[in-house]
Amino acid sequence: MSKVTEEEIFAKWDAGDTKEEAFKLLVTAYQEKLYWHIRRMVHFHDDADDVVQNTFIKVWRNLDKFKRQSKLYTWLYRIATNESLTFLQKKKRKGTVAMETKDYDLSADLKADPYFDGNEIQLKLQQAIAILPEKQKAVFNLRYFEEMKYDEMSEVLDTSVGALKASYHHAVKKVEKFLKED
Amino acid sequence: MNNKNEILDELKTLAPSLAGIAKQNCFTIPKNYFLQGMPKVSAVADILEEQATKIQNDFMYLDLMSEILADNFADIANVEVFKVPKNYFETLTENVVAYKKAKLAIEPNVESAVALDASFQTNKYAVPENYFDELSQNILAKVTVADLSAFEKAVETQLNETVFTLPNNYFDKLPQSILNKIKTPEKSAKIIFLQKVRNALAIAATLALFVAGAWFLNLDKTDATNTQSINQQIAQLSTEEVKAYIASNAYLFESEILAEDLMEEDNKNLFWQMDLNADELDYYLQNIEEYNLNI
Repeated sequence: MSKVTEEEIFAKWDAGDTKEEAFKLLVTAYQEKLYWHIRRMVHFHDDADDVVQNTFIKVWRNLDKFKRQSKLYTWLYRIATNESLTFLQKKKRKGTVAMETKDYDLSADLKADPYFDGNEIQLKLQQAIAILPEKQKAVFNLRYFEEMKYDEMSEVLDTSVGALKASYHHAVKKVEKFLKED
Repeated sequence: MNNKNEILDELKTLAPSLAGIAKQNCFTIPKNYFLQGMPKVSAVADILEEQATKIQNDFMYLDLMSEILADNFADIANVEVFKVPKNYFETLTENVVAYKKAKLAIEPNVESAVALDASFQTNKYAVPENYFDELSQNILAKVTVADLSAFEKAVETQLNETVFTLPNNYFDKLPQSILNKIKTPEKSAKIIFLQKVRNALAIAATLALFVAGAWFLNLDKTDATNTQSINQQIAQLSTEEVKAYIASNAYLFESEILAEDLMEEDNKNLFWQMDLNADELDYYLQNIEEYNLNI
């Protein structure tokens, strides 16, 4: 998202009477990016739909408090990540099977999901990602799928670059090992 | 592009198999998902818009009413809703006087009749000429210097009289007495946990008994060849003999005796003594049952 567009959003937001217009602009500009980030965390469209809307509602309520010392999209990503992690934790508490274990057959659920269109390898990859600890999953997704730089990721996840590198390395090794298994 | 290559190189180093898998997005979404808007988010915006519209409408209503009132105020003000007879105010005075006269005729009161006429004509409260101009001088002239000083003295005396008295040289001694208090630490109360003391002394007394008994036994033994140790001799004492000794010396374990013993200088370092300040002592006394003193 270009700097000009961020300025435009904030200009309309700060004007007061065009707040709603500013918000619509913000949602339109970032909805796809945030949706896919959330979707890769929670896997299913209905869940992602809920989480992304909760994310934007949180953005609406807290945009006045955003200090603008970092990029807007970094702040949005942070909210989206936290909402995803909160959702997964709630789901874990409600569920009978721990999602981060090999017992959880995500591939079976994804095969049945009308909004999943991938081959066996992709299913296995998603299964491998699903068994990662939640924060490691976020790190892996941001680096592998969204090709985010470590320093940007550091702002999103509020973690040091060194810790993120270590986390990504562990995550990749685990996924690699899972893929090699029969 | 540099970032992309960097990430790819990193992946090839860490996980060659993973690097070999084509990166693709396998997740799909309903048609026009991003175009139809988000219900919850839209709902929030709609509610806020509705609220804003309502507020705006309220203000518009108030503005409109203000305009209506302003336009019609002049007309409203000019409408005479309360009517009076013709020339009412011009004839009011005459009518009041006539009424009074008529009343007086029924209840005659000469002074009132005279005053009634006069009051409508003149101001019956009159003062001498230049009264107010000379008033301050007149007052001052009546108040003599002597009177004033006497008055001032009386006030001063009244202020100096107190009903509270002090010891002689009180304020001279006060600073030193305060300093003395600061330098001398408060003696704190000592709390003695008598139950623990009782238990400890019971054990000590029993041991003393055993030692005494052993010595007693030794005295009785005239056999020079007695090779029994004191412990062996104590072991020969029966349970009844021990109980009898404690029972006959029970007075040694009474609370007051224990307290007296413990207050002696030699017992200062006993572990169950505690130094408490006033607040801690109050708390202790209020919660004395907690300490299981069995007093």
